[in-house]
Parts: sequence; structure tokens; C-alpha cells
Amino acid sequence: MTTVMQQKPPDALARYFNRYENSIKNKELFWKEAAAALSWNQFPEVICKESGEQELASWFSDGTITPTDTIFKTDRYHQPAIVDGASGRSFSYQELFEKVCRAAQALNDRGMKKGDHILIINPSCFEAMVMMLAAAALGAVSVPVPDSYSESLLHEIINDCLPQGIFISGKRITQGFLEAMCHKEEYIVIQASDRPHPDSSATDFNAFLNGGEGSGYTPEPLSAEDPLFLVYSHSSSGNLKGLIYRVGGYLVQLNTTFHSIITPESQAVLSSFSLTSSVGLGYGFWGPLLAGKTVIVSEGKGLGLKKDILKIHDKSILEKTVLLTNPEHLRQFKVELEEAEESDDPEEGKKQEAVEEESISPTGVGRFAQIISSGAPIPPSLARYIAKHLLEKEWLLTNMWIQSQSGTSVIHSIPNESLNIPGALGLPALGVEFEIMTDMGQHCRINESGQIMISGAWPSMPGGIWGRDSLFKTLYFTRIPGYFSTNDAGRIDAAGFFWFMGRLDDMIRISEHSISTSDIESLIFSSDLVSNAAVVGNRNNELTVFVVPLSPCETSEERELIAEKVKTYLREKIGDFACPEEIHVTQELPRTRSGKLARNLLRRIAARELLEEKDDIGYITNPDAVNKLLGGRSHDTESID
Amino acid sequence: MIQKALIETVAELNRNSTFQTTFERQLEGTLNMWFEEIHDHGESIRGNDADIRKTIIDLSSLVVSLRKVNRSEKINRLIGKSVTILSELECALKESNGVLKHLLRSRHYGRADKENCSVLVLNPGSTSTKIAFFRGVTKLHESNIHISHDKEDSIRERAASIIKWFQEKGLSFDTLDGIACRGGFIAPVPSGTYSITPEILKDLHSPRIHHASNMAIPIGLELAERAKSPKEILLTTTDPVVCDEVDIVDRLTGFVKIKRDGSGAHYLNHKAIAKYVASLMGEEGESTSVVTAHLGGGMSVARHHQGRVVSILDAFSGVPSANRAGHLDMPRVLDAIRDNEITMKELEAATYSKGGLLSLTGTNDFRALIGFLNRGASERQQEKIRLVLNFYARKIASAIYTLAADGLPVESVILSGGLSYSHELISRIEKNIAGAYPVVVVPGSIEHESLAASLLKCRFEPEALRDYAMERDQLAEQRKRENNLIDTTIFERKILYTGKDTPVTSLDQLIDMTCMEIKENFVPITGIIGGENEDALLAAKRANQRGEYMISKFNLIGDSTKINEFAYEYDLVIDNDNYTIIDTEDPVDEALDLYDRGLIHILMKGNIKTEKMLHGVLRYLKRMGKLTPEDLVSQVSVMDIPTRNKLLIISDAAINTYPDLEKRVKILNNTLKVARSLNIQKPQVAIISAIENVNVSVESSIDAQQIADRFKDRTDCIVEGPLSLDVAMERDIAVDKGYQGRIKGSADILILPDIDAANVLYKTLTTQSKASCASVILCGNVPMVLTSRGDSAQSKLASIALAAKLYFDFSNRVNKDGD
Repeated sequence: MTTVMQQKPPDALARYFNRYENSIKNKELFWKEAAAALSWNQFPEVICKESGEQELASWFSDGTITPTDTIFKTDRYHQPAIVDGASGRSFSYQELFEKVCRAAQALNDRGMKKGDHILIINPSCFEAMVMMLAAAALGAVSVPVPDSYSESLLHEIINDCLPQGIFISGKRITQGFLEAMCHKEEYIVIQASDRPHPDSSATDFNAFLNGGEGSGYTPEPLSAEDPLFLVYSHSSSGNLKGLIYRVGGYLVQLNTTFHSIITPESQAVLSSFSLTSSVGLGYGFWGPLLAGKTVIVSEGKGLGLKKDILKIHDKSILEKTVLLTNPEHLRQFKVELEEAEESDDPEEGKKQEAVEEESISPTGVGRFAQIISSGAPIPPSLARYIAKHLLEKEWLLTNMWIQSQSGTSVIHSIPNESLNIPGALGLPALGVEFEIMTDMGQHCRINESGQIMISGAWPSMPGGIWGRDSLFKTLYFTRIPGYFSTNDAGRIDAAGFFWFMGRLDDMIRISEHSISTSDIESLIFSSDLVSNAAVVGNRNNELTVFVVPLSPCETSEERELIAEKVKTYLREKIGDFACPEEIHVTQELPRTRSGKLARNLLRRIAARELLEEKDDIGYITNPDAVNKLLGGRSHDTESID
Repeated sequence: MIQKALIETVAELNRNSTFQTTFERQLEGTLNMWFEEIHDHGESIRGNDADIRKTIIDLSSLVVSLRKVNRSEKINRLIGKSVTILSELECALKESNGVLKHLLRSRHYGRADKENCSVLVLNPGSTSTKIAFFRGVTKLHESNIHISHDKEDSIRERAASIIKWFQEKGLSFDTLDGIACRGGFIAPVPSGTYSITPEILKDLHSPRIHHASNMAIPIGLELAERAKSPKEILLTTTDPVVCDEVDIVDRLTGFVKIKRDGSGAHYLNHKAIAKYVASLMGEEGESTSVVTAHLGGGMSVARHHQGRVVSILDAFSGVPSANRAGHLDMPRVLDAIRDNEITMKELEAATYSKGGLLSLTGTNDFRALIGFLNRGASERQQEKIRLVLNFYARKIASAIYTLAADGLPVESVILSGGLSYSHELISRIEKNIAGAYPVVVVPGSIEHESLAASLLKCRFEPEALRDYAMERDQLAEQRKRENNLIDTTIFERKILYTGKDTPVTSLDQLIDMTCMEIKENFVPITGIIGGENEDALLAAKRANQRGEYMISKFNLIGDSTKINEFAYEYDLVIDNDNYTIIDTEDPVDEALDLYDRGLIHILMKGNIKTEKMLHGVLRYLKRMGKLTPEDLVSQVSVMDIPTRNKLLIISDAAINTYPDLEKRVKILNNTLKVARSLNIQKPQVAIISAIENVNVSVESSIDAQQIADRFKDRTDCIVEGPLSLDVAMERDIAVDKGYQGRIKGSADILILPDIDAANVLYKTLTTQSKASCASVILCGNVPMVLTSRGDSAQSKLASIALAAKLYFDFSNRVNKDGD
């Protein structure tokens, strides 16, 4: 059963940390060498400029690069670039490149130019991939969004990013929406060929492709700071935000981490992540193509073993394939594997053995070259189970920690016996500096948990939020100046591995909007109205805000005034829906001995759950703060409904 | 060789001491003759000032010489007597004030004489205002102006009466140089002379205690307004009762929550007599190392060193006085309160107004008592009066010895205050001091001289005036710093000393004993089954705190994602030593596997159903052949009831619902295991029923008797039944009811008939009797901890400690049996 990992650093780990220390000490040199792995039109002299103003940093600013050239190198022309899993249809790098150039030409013919936006709805299909590459060849910016978004949300996105072209695939898009889009003159609307809407007035992809003139467009070099794509998230602070990823920094860091994460022997990547997320875009699409690997396009959304993996036409490819997925899918795999094991009576087993001799697991799925889990930490027991059934070695199941705000993976385990512990988030990516900090900004010691913070800039960090210049900095860099707040809690163990300890913000759904409590906290922090703030959800999924005024309040009028100011501020910044239900104005917030906000306690207070005398609050360093919040609703703190 | 030299040296010493004794005896004889002469053979001192002055000069030089002689009992007595007579001589001077001379010392005395300064001294009491008027170096007037009964007592009224008195004496406010006011209950400050500032007035406005002395300063201000140029009149206050300048060591008591301070003593007189006697004894500076005792209506004793009162026995908690009880023995006080012999109100009265001499004799007047001793008291009453006087003399002398016990020199002991006029008392005190120190007697008080002298000194030497606000704030700051030091934690957890095999009588002791056991062995590891449980994790945190308790390390077995979230919230440091997360979907099996491999030692319920955990454990024990037919899963609770002097074990309040006789025997056996771990020798087990006689209609009484029968031959325990709860718990009731068994209120273990009875008792004790409790579930020799939300932090901690103790005891027993 379980064995507790010995945490003595083995040689490989010591070597890794040696490299890591060097990459931090000589950060610019490290990233300069990393940049050299790509082919540039003009190799950058300036590596990083940290400005500290609205834009946080610029990377490789004087370099120019042609993204498609770094992918379509002649020596890989005959290798498969994209394989359609279900049909087995395969496109070599050369074939793909021809299509990309034709598509770029067609876009160009229709007036699309460098810097224009092209919205790509449901990008997880071959045609969408061609469109994204074509956009890059042209210098246009692709904006991939899932087709699961409601039409009103899609309208919001369109109004925000103002695209010149829209590519649509997927069946969830209604005819009405499509027609509405087609009749607007400012867009060109292209539709994937294999799932046409009847009577659609959108241009069919194949027709579009063949409509271009000549052999196609010749890709042009881009400045390293030009945007490559926008990733929208609508789940924060109630507002849409399109994070801008810039060509140079993104491709350099993606390429570096991709080689670090993937076993060199693996040849293909099969991703369950949509190409609208950072994981899917980076490690399921751009990363493999940069590295000359094959991208396997899969139909299914859930990636069940039977439902999807078994449908892969040529299963022998799986042995060389890296499966990129999340713990939820892996849990589903486990259920399927267990069911299969249980129903596996001896008679049937023999039959199956006869049919598929090389098949190792009873489900008929062989082993993968590697599995990368991302999206949530994978429980160690699940990791072991999956590794046992679907991989050669336990350490071939690796973890990747990535946020849309980080662009690329910045913490990950590495497929090596010593550089991977089941259940851990992994090791810090080379060239990215981390701190674990308390809410008060104190550095945590080994194994002490706090918030994972990134110190300073990293190349793949977004260049900002589209159309809202200072918001990125406000949301992520205000808590502790100079540090990027990930809003993830973690710890670093004695060997240097990161462990996930929970998410620090609650997502609260208010009408149509998902609101991140930590975003609200960041906004209040940056308002200079109060000296401290904490935001939690109460029982009815409403916002409850706790604020500490800049100077102590003597009267309830003063408290009311502050609460009113905070409300007005949030109304202005976000909207009426973000106006908190309750604002507690108090002298101090309850903290644990290590300086963390006692959020569970605040949630209980927000839920008006009464603490009893017997409730153990011995872990709180300032129990008076709790007593004031509880006992003194009437006089010490004022709750304004 | 050395021995011989030593013997010779001692012999020489003896010869010298014989010589000194002879010399001292001769000296004593001669001196006494002189003293009688001074006293005019028993009468008071007579003669003109010139003669007295001459005697003073002679006696002063004698004192200086005497102080250079090797101190002995006799020499000390002679010094004391000489200085006392010297003081009497000074007081006998008519033309000038001898006390003032010594307080002002020659440099200011001359100037005061020359400038013919006028100083008014104000000293308001509850029924009168004492005033004194000094001109030059003479006290011209001293009066007691009584408050007229038909008028309301007020500052204005008192001021008016003084104005009237001024007119009567033909005095004028215009020529006043200063008004020296008795200090009231302002904020604590070090001793000294303070000018009247707005801060003083502000603090006087809301005094800690309402007292007549609070009126002195406002009266002074009102009177000053009478003068032509009020601003030229210096207003001061000196050494108020709220003085506080004692050393930090004097602030400690034997209970950290109670801290002393230096206030509540007759500072004005203490400081004055110390200065006065220092001068009489020929000291150069104003200060000397002495102990002063103010023996008046209230009594206080002060220790002086380098001009500061470094320790004090105040007028309320030290020596008993005319109407205050003084120090009382706390346990006797507590017993008396508990036994309803006295009430809190009576105790308060004894402390402040109805104790002391009044309580012992019925009078608060020593003079009346001593008068009665000589005139009219029966023999028995005389005996009692002498006893009381001896008691007072001993209390005062021992207070003096107490304050003298700081290793610093004691130049003299000075007795002052009204009672110092009493030969009956003073001679007794002197006898008790037994010549250890020179005893100087300065009867009455020299407070007025002191107030006047301090004012004059500050008039001539303005830098001697102290800044009230600054001194007050500095003192407050200093006391705060001192409090922080006194409150500094040394051991978070009380380290209580107990012998190893003595019976455990409290849960604290249980925790300590487990800690001791752990020190000798190792820190056991508890596996929390379903680690994603807030209560269990908080309990774990209590039991694993460096600097406090280190009772167990923990394996948190279950959903690692959720455990991590809780660990973050509650600051658990997952270091794979103190806390290790074991991720599993099947925490029971995982825990039992770890237990089987010896990787964990105690099981604890977390986020898991109790039945699921117990079934798992039973299955495991069966599989391993560790479950005998004698074994039963049962809960054992150890209750620590504040009013009881030993622990009480009860069972079974949680697991077995309606156990039959056989099961209850097994339940009893489990409780005996726990009793053994608590070192309870021959535990007394009461099988509880509603009655203490077998009655066919009460089934539990029949069972109880049968259970008791089964154990009747056992020598390691006493099992009796049926017993009703009161007989088992209260000796008096057992006796009243004529219960014939051996367990009369002294039960260690109660076996209850069923879960209802046990649970009701458990909850009654924990909720209504403030009992705290440690509970374990025993299954074979596997201790399990099951804490619930309702348990206090202490109770959770104690439960883990109990389980740990059982673990060690069980494994030791197995080892021994194995040997």
C-alpha cells in the first residue's frame, strides 16, 4: 500500500535545483539561451524590461520572429503534424503548411491584416487549427472561445474584441446566431466544412481555402511583442477579460517548458483540454507543433476510455502519445478500469486475451507514453492507480500547474524518477521565481503553507487585459507589490516540491456572473479606501465583505460611511450586481498564527453561524478580532444590510 | 595546624567580646543615668532652648560615635534610645522648629529663617481640616477646624472656615509664600513634591477613591485666589498616598493574576521621618537605608533605600490596624466563605472598616484599651488585652523583619504615628526586634513639617519640583513593562510534578503523565481516519504543539485535496513527520494496514461513520486472531469533576445501547483497563441501579447484584451493586442511608445500566457540573479516539492523551507477558 516518500534529494533533484538556482540568478541569460532555441528573424538583444507601470514587463522587445517558420521547418515536412483520431486522417507538416498559407492568403484577400482579430468559436478541430496558424502567419490575432458559451456571452465578447473575422465550428451555434453574424458587414464568417448548418450563408471552409489566389501567403515576421492570441475568461470580477499573449515571450517559454515536461521519446500529444484554455492552446497545440510532434485531434469532450480513447483509429499510436488531461477524467478512467476488472470473469478474460494479446488492461487500452494531468492536483492514490494501469512507470504520470494568467506551465513535475512525486504539484519551472507567502506578506518556511506568489516577471505572462490597461496589474499585483498573486495556496516541502493546499478565492454566481472573491478583494485593496479587506461568500452565495478602515472608527456613522464608500466603489468598478450584501467594518481580521486570514471562520461569520464557547479558536492569533466580529455586531462592528 | 589556629582565633574573639560586653554594660549604665537626667527623672524634658541645644550637640556627637562602634544588641539599643531622645529634645525646642531644621537641612533652614517665609499647610480629614501656619522656621499655628454639622461639607465651606480662621489669627493671604496641600487620590506617581498643574486637577476630578484629602488642592487654589497676586503663591503637594515607587520584586505575589503596587501607605510621614532621622543620626545625604513603621489608626511599613521606598506593606493588606484585619491566611478565608461562616460582605468590612482591633476587642482605640487594662479589666480581660498587644507587637515586628530581609543595610527602624506614644506597645515591639536594629521612636507625625519643608525647599530650589504628568506617564509605562515581564510565559503548559505510580486525579495530571511516558518512549502516531475533518484536525493541532504538548504525531488518512485545504486554514505544517497526509479512498482499510505494520499506534475518528470504523477494526482484529470472546467494543469516559478530588470513570455512554449482563461484565472489564492505566489501585466499581437493594421490579438491580457476585472474589478491585448514584458518589448520603458496603461515595467507576442512563449522566456532568472529560473506545487492546464537536479543546486533548497512555500501557503489558 502506501509508502511515505523519503525526502532526501537524490542526485537528479540536486542537479535540477542547481540549474534552477542558476536560471534565477542569471534570469536574463537563461531566457536569452532559451530564446536561441527558436529561429528568429532578428534575434533580440534586449531580453527583459520591467517597467512597473501599466505594462508589467516587456520581453525580447527588439526581436522579430515568424511563428509559422519556427513550426514548419523543412526537416519535419514529412512528419505527421495533425492526426484526426477518429478517422485516422493525417496531415503532414508540409500539407498543413500549404493549407495555412492558402488560408492566410484567403484572409488577406478579404482584407484581413496584421493586428486584426479573428474570433474562433470551438477551435478543437482541424480547420480551426489551420485558421489559428493562418492568423499567426498574417500577424492577425486569434481569439479562441468555446461554443458552450451562450450567444449573449458571445455577443459580449464580439463587442469587446471587435473581430474582423469569425470562424465557426460546432453544432451548438444556432442558425439564428450564424445568420445575425453573417449579415453584419464588419465580419467575414467562415464555417467548418464537416458540420455545415443547412442553408447557412457563412462561407464554407473548403471553399474559403480554395478561394485564395496562387500558392498562398508568405508569412511575415512579427515583433516579439505583437499579440499572438487573446484568451477570454468571463469568470472573474463579473466582467469579461481577454488576456493578451505576446508572440516572443509566449513561444520561448512554451517551447522551454514543453521540452522539460514531455519525454523526448514521445511523438504525439492527445489533449482533452479545449483549445480555448491555456493548457490546451499551449501543450495540446502550439507546444507540440513547435517541437515537431503530432497533435491528435479527438472528437470527444469527456475523453472516456471506451467512449473516446477506444475510438482512436490506430491505437498503436497511443504508445508514443502523451495524454494531456485532468484528474476528473482520470477518475472516470479509474471507474471504467475498475468496472472492467470486476466484470472480468476468467472465461471472458481468456477470450479477450486471445483477441488482444498486447492489451494489458482489461479495457483494451494499452499504455500511454506519458500522462500529464493539469487543472487540479491529482490525488496521490489516483495517480498511482492510473500509473499502474496505463503507464510503464509511476513517474510517467506528471502534473502541470498553469493558470490563464501564467500563460504557460510554471510549476510541473518532470518525467524522471527523482523529479516526480505522486500528488505533488511539481518543481518550479526554470527561470520563474516563486515565494510562498502569508496574507501579511511574510515568507513561509519549509512546509508552511501560504499563497503561491511569483516574484517578478516571466516571459509568457500576459501583456495585459484587452482594452483595460491597468486591470491586470490591479487584479494580480496589488496584494503584495512586486509579486503576482496566484490565489492558490501551497507549500514547498523539504525537497523543494510544491504541494497544492487549496484555492483561495470563492467563485460566487450572481445572476449570470461568476464573481471571484479574490478579484473583489484585489479591487478593494487597490482602492485606498481601507487598510485591509477580506471577501467571502455567505450561505446564500452572496458576497460578504470585511474591511478594516484606515483609522479606527469611533461611531457607527463612521463605519456606515466607509461601508457606503466601498459599495459605491464596487458598483462603479464592476456593476450593481457586485455590490456586497453585507459589509463588516472591524478593527482587525482574524488571523492564524502564521498570518493567514482565517477564511473558514469568516465564512461562518458571514453565514451568521454562531460560534460556541467550545469552538476551538486556539489557532487564531487574535481571538479578540473574532469576539468583536461575533459578540459585538451591535457596537464593535456594524453590519450594514 | 589550621584547627589550632582557628581555636586560638575564636578564643581571642571571645576575650574581645567579653571585653566589649563589659564595656557595653558600663556604657549602658552611664547613658541611662544621662537620659534620666535629660528627662528630669521621669518627667518631660524641661529647660530653656539654649540648654536643650547644648544637650542636642552633646548627644548628636555621641550618636555619631556610637554608630562607629561594632554593632551589638546593646549598642543598637543604645543608638535607638539616643536618637529617640535626640528627637524628643528637638521637639522640645520652643523658639524654632527642630523637625523643620532637620528636614530643611542647614542650607535651606538659614534662608527660610532669614526670608521669614510664610507657608500654609492644608490637611483635610473626614470631619475636620487640619491646618498649620509656618513663619520663618517656626510653626506659628496648628489647628483643627471642624466642619459644622449644619452645613454641607464642600470645598467652598472648608475654604471659608479657613479664611475665617485667618482673620481670627490676624493673618493675611497677601504675604503668603506658598500653600502646601496634602495630596489626594491622583494617579500613581513616585514620591516627591509636585506643583499643581491642570493634569493633577483633571485626575483629581475623577479620583480612584473619594477621600477628604482630595479636597486639599482645590481648597488651596481657592485660598490662593484671596491673595493680591495669587500667581506668586507657590502651590505644592508632597508624597501623596497614591505614591508608588516600589521595586518590581515587591510587585509579585504567589498568583500571577494578582500584582501588587506601592500605593496605599502613609508616604508623607514615612518619607518625612526617614529624612528626619537620617539627619538626626548625622547622615550627610537626605536618604538612608531604614525601615519605617507608621503606627496610627492605619498601619503601614516601608523599606527605604537611596531615597526611595523600595518595598511596602500597605495600610490594607499588611499589618492589622485599629479597624482593618490586614493580611489574612487565604485558605482559612476560603474555607470560612465556603462553610458560610462569613460572607464576602463581612470579609470586605473586615478588610476596610470592621477588622483589626475593633474585631478583636470591640474598640478601635488602643488608648482606651490600654486604659482599660490598667483600670477596670478583669483578670481574664487583662490576659486577653495583653495577648492582643503581644499579637500586634509581633505582627509589626515581623513586618519590619519582612521588609528588612532584602540584604540591604538597615541603619535603624523608626516607629512613628499616634500609637508610638504607647509605652505598652512600643516596649513590646522593641523586645521583639531584640536589638537586631536600632529602634528610633518618633511619636505622632511630622507630616505638616514635611509639607512645609518640601514647599520651602522647592521655593529655593525650583528644579526639585517634579513634573506630575511626566512622572505619572513614565511610571505607568514602567509598570506596563514590568507587567509584561511578570506575565511572560515560561511554560505554556503547566509542568506539574507527580510521582510516577500515584493515582491520576485530574485530566491535567493525565496529560502530564502521558507526556512523561512519551518522553521515556517516543511520540506515538495517531491515524485520523477520514482526515478531512475540522474537529479532528483541531484536536490534533492541540496535541501536537511544540512548546506546549507533544502527545502525538498524526497521519491524516483520507481525501488529500480536502485535508490540504483544512491544513492550510488551520496552519498545520505537513512535514511528513508531525503531520503526514495519506491519500486514499478507503481510509479504514488504509489505517488498519498502517496500524498492522506498526506505522500508526492510535486510531482516531475523523470524517467517517463510527460504525464503519468499528466494523473495520473488529474485522481486522478477528482476521488477526486478536479478538477473544472476552472482548467487546465499548466507550469509557473519564470525568474530571471540579468538586470531586478524584476522577470518575463511567461506561458506556456511546456504543452499547442496552447491554445484557454478559456485555456489561465486558464493559466493566474495559473500564478496569483504563483504571489500571490511571494508576487507580483497587478501583471501586459501583454497578448503578435506581436503588441500592435488589428489587424484582427493578431489573437493573438484579443484574447489578449478579455482576457484583461475579467479581466478589477479585482482590484487584471492589465491585458492588446495586448502588444508587448518590450512594456511590456522596459519602454522607451513603452513611445516612445506612449503606453497608465498602463503596460509600468513593466510587472510581460507575457501570450504568444502559446507554440512556450513561449518556444522561455524561451530559449532566459535562454541561451542568463543568466536568471535563476524556473518552476512548476500547476494542481489545486497540484504543480509539472519537471526539465530537461538543467537546472542549481540553477534552479532545485529554482523550488523545488517554489513548496514548493506554497504547503504551497495553504494549508494555504485552511485552511483559511475552517475557
